[in-house]
This record gives sequence, C-alpha cells and structure tokens, in this order.
Amino acid sequence: MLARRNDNWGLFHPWRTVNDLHKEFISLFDELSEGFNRFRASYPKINLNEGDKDIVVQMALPGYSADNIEIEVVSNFLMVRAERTQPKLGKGERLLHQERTFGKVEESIKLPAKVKSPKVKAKLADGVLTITMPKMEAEKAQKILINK
Amino acid sequence: MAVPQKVSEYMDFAPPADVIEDHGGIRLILDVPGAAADSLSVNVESGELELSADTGMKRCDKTIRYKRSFQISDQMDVENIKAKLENGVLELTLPKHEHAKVHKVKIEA
Repeated sequence: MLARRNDNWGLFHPWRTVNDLHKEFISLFDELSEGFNRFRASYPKINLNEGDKDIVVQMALPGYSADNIEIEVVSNFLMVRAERTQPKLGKGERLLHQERTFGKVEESIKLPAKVKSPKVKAKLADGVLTITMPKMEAEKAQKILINK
Repeated sequence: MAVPQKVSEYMDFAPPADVIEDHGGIRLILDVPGAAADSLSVNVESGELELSADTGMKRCDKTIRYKRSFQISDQMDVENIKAKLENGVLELTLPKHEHAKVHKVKIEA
C-alpha cells in the first residue's frame, strides 16, 4: 500500500533529490557570495551523505522529542514526519519576538540508492536526527553457462 | 594577479531566536541543532551579546557553526546570565538589574 502511494508521488510530485537541492543552494550563494556570505538565516535542515555501504541522512529537529518523530523508509524513499508544540507562556510572560517555527514538519527525500529498510537505524541527539541506511547490494552480473 | 582569498573552514548560520520577557528579565531561546555544549561561547561586550557554537556537522567540507549577536539593554544584569542547552535548543536567561525590576508597592490600608 505504502509502496503504491510512493509511486504516485513519483508521478505527481516534483521530486528532487537532496543533492539537487543542495547544488542549487550552493550555486545561488556562489552568485551572491561576495557581499552576502557570513550569515545565512536559519540552520541547515538536511544533510545527506552517501558512502560505499550506507546512506546517512541528518535532519535538524531541535526541541523535538523522539515520541513525536515518525520515520518511514520504502525502497529509495525516506519520509520523516515530526511535530513540536510551542510551550505555553507562563504567567506574566510576554513574547516580544518570534522566529522559531512550531507545528508539523514533513520531509520526503528520494535517496540516491535503494536501502535495506529493516536494517535502518535512527538516533536523536542534540536536536539532530541521524538515520543510517545500509544500501542494497548492487545486483551483480551473473554468468550463465549454456548447456551443451 | 588574483590575490588568494582566505577560505574559512566554517559555514556560519544565524540561528532563529525567540525572545520572551517577564518581570524579572528576558529569556532568549535559539534553535541550534547539533551544537556542542563544550564549544558554546556567550560573550557580552559594550551592550552586545555574542554567541557562537560549533557543531559536528559538515557541509561542503566546512564545519557548520552558529553565530549571532544581539543588542542588549543596560538594564540587564550581564554578570548573571544563565545558559541551558538541551536537545539542540539553547535558552539564555538574562535577569534585569534589581533597580530595573518592576516593584509592586502595596498600598497600606
């Protein structure tokens, strides 16, 4: 069921891999870089690193608790849903300025390779969710002998 | 000939901040995912609070670092600023000087 849902997204959703987004991000800043370099608003939301055996995705989720994070992996798609609520103001407190966002976040990432879903591991530390996904072995070419 | 530019080994980000005021002072809350407590520095100099924290995360071979500064009022008691870092959220508590606090005066009957 889930796989079929993902396939539909593939058709109708403008999927782009994180790498594409990243490249765009970097080239945009290269163009602007000279006068506008030191400060960038916010923080990096997603990092993706592909190694020989694993794909590691790091997602910034500051102040989110593990109970409110849901991770789904199907084939080469990763989906993370998370939620954090704004703490209520105490008596006599006033919010003077707000930049942090609250509520639900949902990130869907097309991975650069298929992964072994049951072996995916996730860890939440210092507000960073690290998802380690072992890659599926590439299908090896198999020699087939012809019966004589 | 082009002069080689000094390339920073850091990529700096200004973390988003909330400011909450109560009678006793101000709470400054910042999202700093991945920030390491031992690299966190908070300095106050001539009315400017500057904070900096390194992370273990990298992008384009550069270490992601948080850096931001805030103008603070001289009503703040900078000697008694407290910092708490939990789950990637930094909370700075800036108390007001005793003389700057609102004191409610009870009217004697």
